[in-house]
Amino acid sequence: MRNFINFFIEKFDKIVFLIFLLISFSLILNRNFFQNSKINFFSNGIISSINNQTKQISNYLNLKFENANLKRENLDLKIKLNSIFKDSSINYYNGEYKIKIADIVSNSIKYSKNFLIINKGHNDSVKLDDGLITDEGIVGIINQVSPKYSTAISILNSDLKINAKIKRTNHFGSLQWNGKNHKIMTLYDIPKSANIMINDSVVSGGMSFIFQENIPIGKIKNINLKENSNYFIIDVELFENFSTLRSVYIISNSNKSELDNLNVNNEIY
Amino acid sequence: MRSTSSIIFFRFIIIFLSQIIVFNNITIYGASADIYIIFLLVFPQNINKSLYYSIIFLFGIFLDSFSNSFGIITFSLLISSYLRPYILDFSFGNFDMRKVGKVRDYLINTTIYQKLTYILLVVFSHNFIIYSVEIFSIYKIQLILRNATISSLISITLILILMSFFYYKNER
Repeated sequence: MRNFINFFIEKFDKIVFLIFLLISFSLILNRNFFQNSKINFFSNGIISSINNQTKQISNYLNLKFENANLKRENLDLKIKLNSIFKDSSINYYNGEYKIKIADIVSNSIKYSKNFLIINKGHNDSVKLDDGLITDEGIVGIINQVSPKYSTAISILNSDLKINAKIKRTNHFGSLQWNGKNHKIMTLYDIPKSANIMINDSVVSGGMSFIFQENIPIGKIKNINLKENSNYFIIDVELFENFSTLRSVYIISNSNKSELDNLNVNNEIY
Repeated sequence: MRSTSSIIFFRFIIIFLSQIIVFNNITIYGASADIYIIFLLVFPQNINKSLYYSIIFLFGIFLDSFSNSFGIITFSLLISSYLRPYILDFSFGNFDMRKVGKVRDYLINTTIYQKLTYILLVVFSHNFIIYSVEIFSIYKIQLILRNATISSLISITLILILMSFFYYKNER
C-alpha cells in the first residue's frame, strides 16, 4: 500500500498530464459524431455569447461591404420576382421550405473538417439537418442545436458529400472538398459521355431533402479524366467566399419528417 | 521584482487576446498564423510540473473554444509541452537544465542557430500533431505535411519578429 502511495506521489505530474490528454482527446472524438443531438461543450452558453460580442465589433467595421452585398442581392431578387410571373416553372423558394436569417458567430477554413456556429437555436425553431445557404451557394448542414446557438458542418468538411448537378446538361454527381483550397471543391461521378465545358455552372441537385434544386454553387474550373476511368474528376470554383462569410439563411424542409418515415437510405446530402 | 505567477498571468491574457482578436483573422494559403505557441516557448522552467500542465491545458481549452477547433489545439499543446524539455536539452545542450532556470537566458545568450532549432522543432512538432489529429488519415500524409509546413513557416516568421521586440541583448 505504501509503495502504491509513493508511486502515486512520484508520478503525480505524469498522471495529471495523462488525465488532461484524455479529456482533450475525448473532446476531439466528440466533434466527429455526425448529427449529435447532445449539447456540445463549445456550442452553448458563455463562450458563444462572448464570441458573439466580439463578432459584433468586426461586423460594424464591415458595414460598408455588407451594404454593397445587400444592394446586389436586392437587385437579383427583383429580377427573379419579375421572372416568376412569366415563368411558372421556377420553384426557387417554394412552399415546402421555410427560411430564417442568422449571423455567423464563428467559422473556420483552416482545418480539413471545418464547422461553424450560428446565433439561432431551438428557441428559434432551428432543427437538426436544416440547411444553411447564402445567395451565392450552399454553406452547410446543422448538426447540433442548443437553446440559443447551433453548430453546423461546413461544406468545407472532407466528410461531407453534397448532391450536385451541372445546370446545362443535368448530369448528377457528388461534390466533396479535398481540404486544400477553400475556393475549390471537387465534383465526382459525372460520366465520360457528358458534354461538359469549362465555366459551366454547377447547382444543387435536388436529390436530397435538405437543399432544394438549383441553388447556385460554383462554376467548372478544370476537367480531369483518369486513364481507364469512365468518370470525370471536376474542379469546381465556388461562388461563395468562405473567408468573408457573415450571415446565412437557414432553410428547413417542412415535409422532412414525413419523407424520413419513408425510410429512404441516401448517404449523399 | 515581479513574481513568476503574475508574469504568466499577463502573458496568458495578452497572448490569448491577440491570438483570437487579431491573428485568427489572418489566413495565408489556407493556414492561419499561430502565435500562441510563444506562450509555450517562453514558459518558465522552474515551476511545478503538474501546475505547468494545468496552465497549458487551460490555455488550450480557451483557445479551442474561440477558434472552432474542438480540442485539437489543447491536445497538441499538451504533447508539445511534454516534449519541450527534451527539445530544450537538444537545442541548448551546453546548458545545465537544472541550474539555469530562466528561458530568457536561453533566448538571449545563445546563437541564432540554437534559437532557430528550438523554435522550429517546437512549432513544427506542434503543427504536425495538429494536422495529423485533425485529418487523421495515413493516406493524406502529403496534405498533412503540406499544411504543417506552410503553417509552421508563417508562424515561425511571426514568432521571430514578435520575440525580437521582447528578447534582445542589452548592449549597454
